[in-house]
Amino acid sequence: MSLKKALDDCLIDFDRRVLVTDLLEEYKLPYKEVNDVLEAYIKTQEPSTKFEKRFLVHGKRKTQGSDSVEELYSVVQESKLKDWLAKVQDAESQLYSVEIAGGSKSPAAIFKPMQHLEVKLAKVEQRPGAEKTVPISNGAPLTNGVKSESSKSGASKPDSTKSSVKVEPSKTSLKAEKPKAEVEKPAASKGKPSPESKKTSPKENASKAKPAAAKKGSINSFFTAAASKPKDVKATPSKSPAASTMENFFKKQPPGAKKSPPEMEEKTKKESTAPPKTESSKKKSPAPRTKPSPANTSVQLFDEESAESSDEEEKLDKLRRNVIGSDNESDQEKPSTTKRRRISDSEDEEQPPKKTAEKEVVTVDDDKMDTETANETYLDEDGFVITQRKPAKPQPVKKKVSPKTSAPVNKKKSPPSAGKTGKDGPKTKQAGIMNFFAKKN
Amino acid sequence: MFEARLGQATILKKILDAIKDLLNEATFDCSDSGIQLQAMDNSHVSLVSLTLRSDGFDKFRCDRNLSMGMNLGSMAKILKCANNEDNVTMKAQDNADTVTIMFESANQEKVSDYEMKLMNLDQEHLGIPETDFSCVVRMPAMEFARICRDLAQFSESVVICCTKEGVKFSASGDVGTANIKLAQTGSVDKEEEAVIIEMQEPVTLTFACRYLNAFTKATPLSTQVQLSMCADVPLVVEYAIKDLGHIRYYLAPKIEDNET
Repeated sequence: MSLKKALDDCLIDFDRRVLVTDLLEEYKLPYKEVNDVLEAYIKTQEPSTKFEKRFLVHGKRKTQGSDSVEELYSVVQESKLKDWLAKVQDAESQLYSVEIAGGSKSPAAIFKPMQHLEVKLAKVEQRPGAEKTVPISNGAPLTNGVKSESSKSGASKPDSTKSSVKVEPSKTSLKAEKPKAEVEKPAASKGKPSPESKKTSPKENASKAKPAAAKKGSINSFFTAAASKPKDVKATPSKSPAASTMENFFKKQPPGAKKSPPEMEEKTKKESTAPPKTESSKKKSPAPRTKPSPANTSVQLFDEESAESSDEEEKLDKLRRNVIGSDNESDQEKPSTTKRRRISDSEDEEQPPKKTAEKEVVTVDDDKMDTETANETYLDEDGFVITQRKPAKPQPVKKKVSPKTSAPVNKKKSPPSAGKTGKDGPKTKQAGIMNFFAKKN
Repeated sequence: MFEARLGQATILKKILDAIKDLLNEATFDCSDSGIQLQAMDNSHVSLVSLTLRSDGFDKFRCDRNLSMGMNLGSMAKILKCANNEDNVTMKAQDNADTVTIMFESANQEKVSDYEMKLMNLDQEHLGIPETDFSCVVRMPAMEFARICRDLAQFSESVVICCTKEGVKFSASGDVGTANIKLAQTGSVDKEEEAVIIEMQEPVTLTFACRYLNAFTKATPLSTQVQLSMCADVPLVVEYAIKDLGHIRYYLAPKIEDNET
């Protein structure tokens, strides 16, 4: 698949930092082409979504005291690029990484019914019914959550997020890599620190906590991206100071940095090929993955996503079967069973496993929709991250859900009509002519 | 020695067209009374009975009874070689394994003959009892063909219901239901357009569209078709061949499946 097509199809997740080096490796393209394509894509997207670009600056600077000239590589943000170019001699810069600017797509209220939003806006207490479904944030005093969150978010959005980010990344990245589809883990989300949830609406919290990675605008995903990448970014250039040209940098760097990502990719690919295991591994093995998680794993993440979206239905079917077929909850050791557990735990116990599976689908689909619809996201006075998506929200859910739910209905409709003919069929059978006429001889 | 001559090849062509879809092979039984053919289709659901009287031929000679097993596809190919106005003559020696089909143009200027191998077909002949049918419907052959064709779009089966009011053809399927009612015509100028129903008892029978449509291949042979029905008895669809005989199709009805 060409890079352009991948971009057009939204297969590249800019919620996480996308390294140009990764793209070079992934699509086997020269830097210039990747750069051009990427720039073109960003230009087309720019008005609606802001991208945060980082550039690799290469140049020479004099060390203090001595006249010796030191070669310098640094990855800088777009805003500081000019300063750097001015500072450094013979400076040249090239696009290094791209991601969606923080906050622009932050916690999309995908499953948040408008009522929650309205309630929050009006600072009215939520109805008890709503609390049940979304236990986390509602109970907590709004202001507390808001302030803590807002402070966090405020910190996280700008460049200086790192400190806060660094604390969380391992956890969040774990979560991020966990099954994106596992939207329905309210229990798990309960356990998580509430501040995150407070920012967004109650329902989001339920969905956001796990699927954060999946949801493109979620805070979690932003944190993971921000946390893990800055380190990598700085680390990578420092590794290759010997390289003299920018071209070399971009060409040499990937293999070194990639050593880990490709492995990961392979793993993910392998996992994705073995359908039942994939999900389990995805859901369970966040820890092992994060261990090696070295540099930017954006490409790897894409792979996961794309793989999941493509094999989504099969997996979900298998999941359903697993869930339905699982009578014994005792065997937690096996990945599949834990999966089941998660699913069963994740939703209200009353809800049948099928529903959870369906919800998974919905969430994933919504993610796709997210990319298509531009959300208005802003921080209100109280520090709420408010995503307004009035028309789009209900529609996608209906659209995505209805076909699945209504499809069987339609199917059921047709059989009866067919049954009419079928009734004729089974009721009557074609007699043979020999039944009526006897042989002459 | 067997020799039969028809003034127009087109009749034989039409006869072949009327049976070749149902039958791949058939035995023509020749006797001094004429030519008869009886054969079931491969699935043994329908039966074709052709009678060509000897007096309908321009010339007919049959010294001994003769059964000529023929591949109807091959015979149709040969008949395609004839012009409609040609005279056609079938000839076969006693105990011969070939039949010669000869076409002569009207002015005798062109004569072509084709020899076709005969086959030994071990075909069962069924005794067809005479039946007093509860309903006999005579209707335009074209109309019947049209009805069968139309209803076949709705279902595999057609229900033919014959009452005093008329005859109703109906089919229901995924698309919906279709009903075509034909009332007996009062007075018709043209006999071939008449719908005549002779009914002793109302009858409702279900038949497979596929076979009915195969029967309607005989439509060119006759302007009228006669449907004879009786409960639990095969439908008889008869096309008269003017001055020569008739072709009858027997179709077993669809019966209630007690097993289910």
